[in-house]
Amino acid sequence: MNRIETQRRAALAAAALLLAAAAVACSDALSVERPGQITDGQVGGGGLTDALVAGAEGEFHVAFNWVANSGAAASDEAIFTHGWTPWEEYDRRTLTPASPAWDGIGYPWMQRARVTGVRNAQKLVEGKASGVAVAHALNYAGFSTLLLADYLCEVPLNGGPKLPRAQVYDSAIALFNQALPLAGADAEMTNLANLGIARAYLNKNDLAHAIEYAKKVPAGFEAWVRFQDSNNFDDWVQKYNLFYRTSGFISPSEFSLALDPAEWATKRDLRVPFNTDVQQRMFTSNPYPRLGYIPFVPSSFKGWPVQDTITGGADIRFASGLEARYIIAEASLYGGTGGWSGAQVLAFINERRAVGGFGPYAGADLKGELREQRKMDLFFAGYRVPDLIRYKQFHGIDEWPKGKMGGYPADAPYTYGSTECWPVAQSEINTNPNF
Amino acid sequence: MGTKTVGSLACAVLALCAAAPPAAGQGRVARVAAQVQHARMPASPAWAAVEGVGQPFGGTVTLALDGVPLEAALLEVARQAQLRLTYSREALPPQLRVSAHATAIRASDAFALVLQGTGLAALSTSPSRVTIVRRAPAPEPAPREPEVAVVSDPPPAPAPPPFPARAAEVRADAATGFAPAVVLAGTIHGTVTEAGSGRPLNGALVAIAGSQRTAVTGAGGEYTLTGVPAGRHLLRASMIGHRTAELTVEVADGAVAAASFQLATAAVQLDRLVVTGTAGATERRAIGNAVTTIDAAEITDRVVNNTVTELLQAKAPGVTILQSSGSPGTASNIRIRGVGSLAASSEPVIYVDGVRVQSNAGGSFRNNWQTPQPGQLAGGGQTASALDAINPDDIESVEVIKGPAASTLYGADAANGVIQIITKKGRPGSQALQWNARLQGGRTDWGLDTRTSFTTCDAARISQPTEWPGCQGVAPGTVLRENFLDGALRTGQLRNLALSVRGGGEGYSFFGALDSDREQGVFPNSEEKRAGARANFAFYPSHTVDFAVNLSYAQTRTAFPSTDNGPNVLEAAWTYQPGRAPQPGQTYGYNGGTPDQYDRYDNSLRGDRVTLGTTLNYRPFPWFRNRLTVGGDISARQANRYVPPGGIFAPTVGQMTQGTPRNNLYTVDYAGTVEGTLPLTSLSSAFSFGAQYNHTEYRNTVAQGTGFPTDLVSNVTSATVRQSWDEFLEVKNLGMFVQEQVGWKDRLFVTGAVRMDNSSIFGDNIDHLFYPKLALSYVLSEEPFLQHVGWLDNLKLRAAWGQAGNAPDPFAKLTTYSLVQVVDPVSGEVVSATRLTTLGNPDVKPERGSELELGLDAGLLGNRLGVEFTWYDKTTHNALMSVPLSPSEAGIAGGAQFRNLGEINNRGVELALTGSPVQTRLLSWDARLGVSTNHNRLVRFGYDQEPIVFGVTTLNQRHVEGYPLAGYWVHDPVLDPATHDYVASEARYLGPSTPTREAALANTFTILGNLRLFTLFDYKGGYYLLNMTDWRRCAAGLCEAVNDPGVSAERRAQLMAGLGANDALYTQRADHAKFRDASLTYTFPRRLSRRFGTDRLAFTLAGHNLGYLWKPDYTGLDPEVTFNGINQPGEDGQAFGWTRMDYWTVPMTRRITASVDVSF
Repeated sequence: MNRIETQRRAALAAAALLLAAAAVACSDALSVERPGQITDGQVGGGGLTDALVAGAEGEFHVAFNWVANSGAAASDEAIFTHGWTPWEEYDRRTLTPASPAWDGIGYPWMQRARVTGVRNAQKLVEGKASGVAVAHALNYAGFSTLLLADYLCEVPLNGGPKLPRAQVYDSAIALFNQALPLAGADAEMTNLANLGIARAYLNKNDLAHAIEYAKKVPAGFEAWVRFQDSNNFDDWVQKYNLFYRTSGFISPSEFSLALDPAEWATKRDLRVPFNTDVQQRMFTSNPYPRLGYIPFVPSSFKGWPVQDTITGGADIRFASGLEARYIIAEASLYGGTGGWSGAQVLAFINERRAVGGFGPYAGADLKGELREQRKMDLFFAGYRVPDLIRYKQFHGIDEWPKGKMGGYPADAPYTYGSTECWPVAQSEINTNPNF
Repeated sequence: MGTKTVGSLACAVLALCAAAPPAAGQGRVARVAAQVQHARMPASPAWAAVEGVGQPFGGTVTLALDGVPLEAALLEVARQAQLRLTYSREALPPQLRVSAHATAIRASDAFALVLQGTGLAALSTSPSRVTIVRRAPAPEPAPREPEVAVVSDPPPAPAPPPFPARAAEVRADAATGFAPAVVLAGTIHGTVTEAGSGRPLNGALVAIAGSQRTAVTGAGGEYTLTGVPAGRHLLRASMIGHRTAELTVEVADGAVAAASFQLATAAVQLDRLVVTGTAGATERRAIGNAVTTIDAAEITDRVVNNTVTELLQAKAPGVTILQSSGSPGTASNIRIRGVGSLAASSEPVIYVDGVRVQSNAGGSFRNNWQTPQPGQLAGGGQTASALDAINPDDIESVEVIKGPAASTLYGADAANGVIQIITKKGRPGSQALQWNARLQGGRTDWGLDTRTSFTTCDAARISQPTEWPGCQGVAPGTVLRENFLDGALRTGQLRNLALSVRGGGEGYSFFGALDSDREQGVFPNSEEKRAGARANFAFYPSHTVDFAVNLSYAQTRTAFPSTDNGPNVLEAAWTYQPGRAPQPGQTYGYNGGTPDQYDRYDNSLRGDRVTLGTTLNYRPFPWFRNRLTVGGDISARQANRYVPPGGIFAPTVGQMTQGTPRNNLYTVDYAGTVEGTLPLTSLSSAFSFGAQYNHTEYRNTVAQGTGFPTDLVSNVTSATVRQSWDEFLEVKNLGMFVQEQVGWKDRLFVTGAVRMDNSSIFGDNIDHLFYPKLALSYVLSEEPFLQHVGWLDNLKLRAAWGQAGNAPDPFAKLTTYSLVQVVDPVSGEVVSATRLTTLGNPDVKPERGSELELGLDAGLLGNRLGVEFTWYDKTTHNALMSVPLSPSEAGIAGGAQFRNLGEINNRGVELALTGSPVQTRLLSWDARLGVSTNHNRLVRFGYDQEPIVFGVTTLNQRHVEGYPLAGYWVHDPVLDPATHDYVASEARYLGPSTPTREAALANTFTILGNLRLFTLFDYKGGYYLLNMTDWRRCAAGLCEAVNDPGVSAERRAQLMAGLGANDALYTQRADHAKFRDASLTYTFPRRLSRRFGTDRLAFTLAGHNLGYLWKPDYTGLDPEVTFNGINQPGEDGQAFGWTRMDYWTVPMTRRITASVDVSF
């Protein structure tokens, strides 16, 4: 081999070496910064415990806001007419899988809350967070699951097939049961888990278990969904303050109590106050506007009993010892073992009536009166729809509004539709291979 | 031929190439030969056995050489014998001159004659190629016979004369003891003109064969080469679009020799060098794919192209410029051979002098109705183009590498094509400085109908005197008409100042330029300004090394008026009804604000951009070339968007948003090429390899203040509510390639290559990706059986297949969380919370573009007619699809994940005809016709996906399998018998939303060599555009169609129905032909320009966007516009970026300029 050939081969070898060196250097040379994003691996690496917990809570707040509003609209607790959101389908109970206000808004938010709670709990475990922190995420995952079970007829979880409601309650109970031992001495998390289990059992009509767990919740326990008042579009995107916009609290003119004014005119329950001087014309774009009263802050909202219009930042009590007592009372009346006697239930009813400004109950329909008191105490806090479902499904009591819709002029053609639970949204149907 | 012999031949060729410059000495010829042998050659008897040496070949040659450099003599022999010559310049004795006289001898004999005594021999390696190789070492080289070789041995000069006084050269080699030899020198001066027309050719390269002495002709076609060693030289003149010509010139000491060239036009130049990504350029003959070269310098000499995008417009078949708006500074979409992606970018990558530069649009805030939001890119309105920072006057040429078949070597994001911008350079060699200056002024105006609005005064209006004062006193049915826009428009001013200088010296060259441009739009707050400087230096310290530094700086400012789907004066003027009372506080009819109010809107982008590129070329051996390019493109900008308080803009309380986007893009690019012959064969080989590294960084900090009590202040600090956010993006790519190009007889070339890429944006499960390429080029016209076809000068058949990538979104692989704020349920305090933002795909990878192209290049009729034809079929495999995930699984509203599932196809043909039908001194006519087609089709989504339906106001566009992406699916108005309203029919397919056919015809007429008329017509067709502006006008009852008494009530109702029901009436065929450019240039005769002390003095009157030749169906003003500017498909992960419609968008404005060009 002559010198030239040697040189040529040397050059080629050098080139090959250069390329090989470049290939070896590849991994280091291609590392990049992502200062604006936290990656999946980083999130599970510890150090974000509080943020993960807050994330699980925040997503639940968003989802809760939606069901509280949409449930209120469907059960005639309230009327919403915000211009951006087609509330009429909830109001008239004509919801379909593709209804824009369900498919594009409510359903994904509810699923997101559940998925986030579970995912964040896993990330907290990966990050070796404290048991209480994990219990936080699991509890909010559990309550998010309860929302799905409470409002939907059938629910797909984690991209799977539709599950009957009872199985979804079981899924929620499992999450709470995982949370309980982790909560340790943390009373708030323990109470939240017990109440969640009690609510799930009640809605499954497992009355004994409902009573068992409800009894573990102290009467003074309260858990709140928090919101911040703002009229800034950017702000509510940033701060989960979705309640402000989606509920339609742009102005009092976009929110009203739903029942027929003639009926509401007779109600003077202090727990559900309203402005008796003004009746709003709702759905003004229609030829037949609906009439309603402007509500003041109800007893399930922060700020009660101050008689003022509700703001977008009003916190809502979503779980409480009061609810636990209602669970015990209802389960006891319907035969649940280990609960209260009739006298205890009556005493409870009278206690609640007093809060509403009424005297002791003198009638014989304790169950009916208990439903009425529960309706007022838990007004506009997301309870009404699952209550109506439970009453009808397990007790044969159908309190869903029917026939001609109240508040409309006599010649208005509107009657209530048949929606009694929210369908699986079209976006899930389109994307879930099990559908 | 035995193995050893063949190997020896290869070694001989390579060894020759590797020969070092010889030392000098006494008895020059003999010493030169001896030095070469000693330094480079092993004494091996094999050299004497080189097969083929001494065998006769070639045609007859007549020699009359006296004192000609050896290289020039060899080239002269080759030229006469019509042979291509392969040799190493370094191996030739550099100072050897030969004299030879012979008549009608064989070429082989002629080579032997001039090579006598050099130790070199001519070997015929193919019927058309001769290679100079080394003979066996001669024990004692004999002095050459005086009649054959003249060895001048001039007496040493007492002292070196000052360089370049009399241009004497002094060379000494102390190591050898060779006495300094002084070569007496003279000057060569002459002109280069176009054969036939006699037109002076500006920018032609004149080079002395075998040296680095070059000169570039000035505007008058003149050149001067100084310091030329006395003796006979072979001069070579070349220029794009012309045949290379050679002349032998005798230079006497201290004298000026004249040498003028006439270059015939050449439609096809197979020997032209093009950039392919390897080290050094490659001859076009060897390339199997189409490469379009745009002679930018010539174009800018004829018309005023304010931007690089305009420079590209209608110049290269297959390159589609989708303009968006006529407002200065607004970006256009560049599409090469169609759109190949649904969810990733479709823009080509752009290099300037080998350095990758930022070319994407953006930086500015969109002028839409939306308040700028963190990370918000989508939305209506125009935005700026990064390409506008490049001064078109600085560009020498542009090479367009069109698709994966050609762009494989450029790697993982080159599937959309590559645009190589080559800026002007100086020329080495002692020569006079060439100054060029251009002063230009002009105007920009609307140039089109400003649209008349109509009102029919019916009984109802007549009965409302307060609301309809204009309808009072007229008969029912009277139609009022008025134009409200005229008063809002202005005639913008345009000026351009450009100064450049070009020069060079021994071992260096330079080009410098300054420019200042300003163009005002038709609205007072519409403007683009650019001031820039460029300095390109090149150094040639030796034959083996050269080094270039290219530095440019540009300062830009672009102001965007509020148009498109933001509050704007077009809407205000075009939706106001004649006869109606003005709005409160107004004296004239505007439906909204007044022009003054809209003019207070300030949406501007200021930019400072520096691009620095350094390129080192190192040729340690003649067979080994290396190129290393290191560069950076750094852009710092400030974007402002000020919405004054007062009610016509949102938010009504006023808002200022300020951003500071910064893009840094760094390039390191190495490539090497080893040339030789393949073992055991006589096939030539060029083995190339290389590696590229790109690093892109984007940073932006945005501050926003909302709420001003007055427009006296407009800063963020003074706002009532303030917020800020920042953005960051970083991408790194590393790629390597190897390529082997094998040539047979210099007319058949097979190229195979493979590129390997890795990138920070690849999914974590993707380590490397490979992209292969295979190309074939066959110069059929050089086959003996076609030599006798007189009308056929060149014919090259080519075929290429290759693959390249198209990168996904940088975050497509990542599952990411952002931090938001939430109220803690226990404490009530605002705390940070994680929120899932994206669901990444660890398997995501670039889309894979795969392309087959077949074509031919032909020069006919004396190479006066050129034909370039290409058929291509490009398929994007693994097309990125934004696959929606089920909410119950993803946990994100509308959650989606990018997956490589789809397939998209683009097919079409490209034809370029170049001709010079008339070439006389009285009149010359050069013409170029480009035609291209593109048929785009979404082959498959690759997953269970219904057609994606989208649109603004009406859902009339769709992505449907089997149809073009974003095709129009329109609804006809159907009467609902129940409501008597017009409702939408079922959607029907109408056609594509981007052009499928394009043509451009450029003509240059030169009269008497001094007067030149240039015209450019272009056509786009085969597509549709939603004319929503007209729908708004008709729905409001003020377009002509609904006020025409001859129009039936039914038709009127259809026209006025909702757009969702009648979009078929407003989605109109957009085919059109435009008179794009015209210019008239008068170049003063030299004797007159000399009187002004200039080499060239020319005046040009030019026009741009001069009008429509044909627009049969589109009722709007301009079917080229679209309201959402350069929204990239996939930019928002959804369909908005694909939405195309004309909605309060400024049409392409007319530009008339006058300029004076001076060269001195």
